[in-house]
Amino acid sequence: MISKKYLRLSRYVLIIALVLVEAALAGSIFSRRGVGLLRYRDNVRAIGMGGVGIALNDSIAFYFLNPASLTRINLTRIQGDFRYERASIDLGAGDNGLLSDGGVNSLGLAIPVKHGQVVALGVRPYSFSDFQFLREDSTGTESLSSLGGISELYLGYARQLGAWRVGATADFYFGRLDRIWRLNHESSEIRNSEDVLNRQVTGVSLHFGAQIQPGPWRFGSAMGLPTRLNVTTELNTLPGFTGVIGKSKLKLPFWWSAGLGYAPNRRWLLSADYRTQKWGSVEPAELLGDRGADSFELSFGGEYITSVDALSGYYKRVSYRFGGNYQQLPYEEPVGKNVKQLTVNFGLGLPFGRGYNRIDFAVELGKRGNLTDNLVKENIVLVHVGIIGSERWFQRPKRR
Amino acid sequence: MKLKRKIAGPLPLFGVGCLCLLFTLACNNDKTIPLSSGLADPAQLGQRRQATTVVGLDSTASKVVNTFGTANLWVGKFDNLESRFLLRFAKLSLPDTVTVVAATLKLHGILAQGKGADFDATIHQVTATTAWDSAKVTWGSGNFPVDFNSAPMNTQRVSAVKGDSIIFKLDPVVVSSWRTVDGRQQGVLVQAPGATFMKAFGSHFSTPKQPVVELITLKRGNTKNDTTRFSPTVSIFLFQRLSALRQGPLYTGLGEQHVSTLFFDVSAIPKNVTISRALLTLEVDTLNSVFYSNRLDLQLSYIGPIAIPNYNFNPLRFEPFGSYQDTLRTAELDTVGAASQQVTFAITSAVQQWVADSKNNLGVVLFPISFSARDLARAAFYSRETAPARAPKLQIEYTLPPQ
Repeated sequence: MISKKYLRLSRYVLIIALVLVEAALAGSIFSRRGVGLLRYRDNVRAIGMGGVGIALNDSIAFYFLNPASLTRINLTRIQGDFRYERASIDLGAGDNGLLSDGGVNSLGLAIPVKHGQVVALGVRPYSFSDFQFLREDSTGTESLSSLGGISELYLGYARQLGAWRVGATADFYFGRLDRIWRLNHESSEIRNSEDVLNRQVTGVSLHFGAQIQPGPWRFGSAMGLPTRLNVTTELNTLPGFTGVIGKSKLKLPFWWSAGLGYAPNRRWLLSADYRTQKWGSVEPAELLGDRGADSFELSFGGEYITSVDALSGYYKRVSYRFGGNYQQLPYEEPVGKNVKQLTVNFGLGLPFGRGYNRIDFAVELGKRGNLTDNLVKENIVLVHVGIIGSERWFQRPKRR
Repeated sequence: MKLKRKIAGPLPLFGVGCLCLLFTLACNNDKTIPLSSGLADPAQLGQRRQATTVVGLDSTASKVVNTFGTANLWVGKFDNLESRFLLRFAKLSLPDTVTVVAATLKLHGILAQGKGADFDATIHQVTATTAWDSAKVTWGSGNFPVDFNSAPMNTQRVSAVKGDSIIFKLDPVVVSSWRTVDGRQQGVLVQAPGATFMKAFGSHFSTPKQPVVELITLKRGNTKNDTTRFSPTVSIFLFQRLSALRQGPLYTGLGEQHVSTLFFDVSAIPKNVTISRALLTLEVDTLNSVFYSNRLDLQLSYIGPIAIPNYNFNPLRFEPFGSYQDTLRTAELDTVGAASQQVTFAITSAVQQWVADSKNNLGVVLFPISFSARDLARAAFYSRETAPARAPKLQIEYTLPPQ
């Protein structure tokens, strides 16, 4: 009875989140280039392990980056995650800033249609841009802010082929990036202005993945095809000018990743991933006027469960996760200087509902950029909470 | 039951608690990044620009209009204008048994314009057989529009001291005739053809400085005179221009009504800008202006779309006294006086519309609205023709959106 109650609760939480879905933004001064900062992961378990996941799979949660991981799903899964992010900005010389935000990050649904075949549908953030500059003096204020991001609606399919797990996902990109320049004058004789440059992005891409699990080892790889998204740029000004001022393309370059995992027993799991994307090959004209830089990400992490026995005490079934992540962001800041991000990650996996469902909790602590090269540094804290519930759809109950 | 509790655990509630914590954390105040940090990409910022446009087309249309309603009755000559005034009185309610022994008309001096020696003003009986219409009568040029007896009833010396009053003696016979009921009482005219300046006396609107007639009467059988005082029911001054007004400056005036039209070409400014401020400045041409002690209130209106099919608008052809008057839009106000060097109108909203669509740009019309100085005050401004360097200018501050 109690487990059903919790199931219903988790379902309601997810439904409410779905209704209120709005890509969670987060402030970062580094999000002012191109399409903003990219989000590669939406799986809280993976985040707790430093971002690994290419080689891993899970019967409860699924990993967006490698659709092959879906094959382990044997019950219909509804997963969603919430995120809070805070960036303390150090500008040097005692100047600083603080940007923070939180909200729904992603929602997903995975449905096993046959044994070893799973389809998945979900929406997740691809990028975000959120910052605000402000000048205040006796004549008034001037601000430049950005709000918005690109979201991704994905439709994935995965199946078991012998020892291999393979999967493919169609990614439908959509979103809007607003850059707002405001002038507010103290004098009532001078009219205030607000110019909103909004870029609406749409497009499609595909990504694929494969996994194999020989003994205690796990190997996985995934790649995403390059694509050109359609960008419609519209200008809206306070006096009432509204018009499309340009149409262009936004190129998302090819990416690939590889992962390695090792599970010496059912309680320990260790993994490492590498991912790279050639943003440096994208011309500024196809990156909203900004210059890209080749990005890469190196992550490692582990997970420990005291007991995998379903009848053992609750706290023995909690998963403890740790990891680290080092990445180079896809933009130069300033031109010629790469931006590095380093985080240490921790997480917990809290099972409920007979162990079929889980709440994942992850914290990332780290920094982006440095004052010497990038003239600005961010100390970042990200908190993620993921809820995964289960249902039995399209599966006949076994006869007794 | 014990087993179930162990399996389910209390953790979902813990998760919900974490969510609440996240939302609470998200509700703190961010601290924005100073724009002065230099980290903002200049290309993402818009630009503030300024532009100055000299008037493209300007013109003045003039017309003598009816001056009824003013506080001043002008007589004399000034600024190549000659002015006279008319007074009309109510039917005199004196019985036949009362005789008018003597009558005087007192006029209170208010203003003087121009310089010159004292002059003689004469008062005449109006002999017109048709009543003059105070709301329509004008002079303008040529013969005086109302017939009068050229033989004056009386002559008085008018001084340039603005507060000096004069008292005309009226012919008792003429005044006695005002009690007839045949409707031919047309009042009196005051003129001064030999004047060297112009003097204003209070009109019937200028309480307590309105004209006053004082009658000395004697009732049949009595030996003691009675005194009766009354004021005119209608008074108005009429003027004619003795020589043409100097062409070139842009004029505004109400008695001799001048309306100026100005057109600025703002097509060089992109359509998508925000006009922060647009100031139209006109420099006052004091040599060609006529100001009283009161300042002249000016109104600037935008000419709205003209609903005439295929009408090719040209501000120089705009007829400010015609039916297009009702196309005028939102007014901007300012005042101008003898000490003014320039007048400025904020026309930000209009320029925003002009920039957005050049079809909206039909120019502006400048005219005075001061009823207290409605008569012969006139403001002149430098035009493209008279002084290109001092011609009306439109200074526009605007913001160019980020590209």
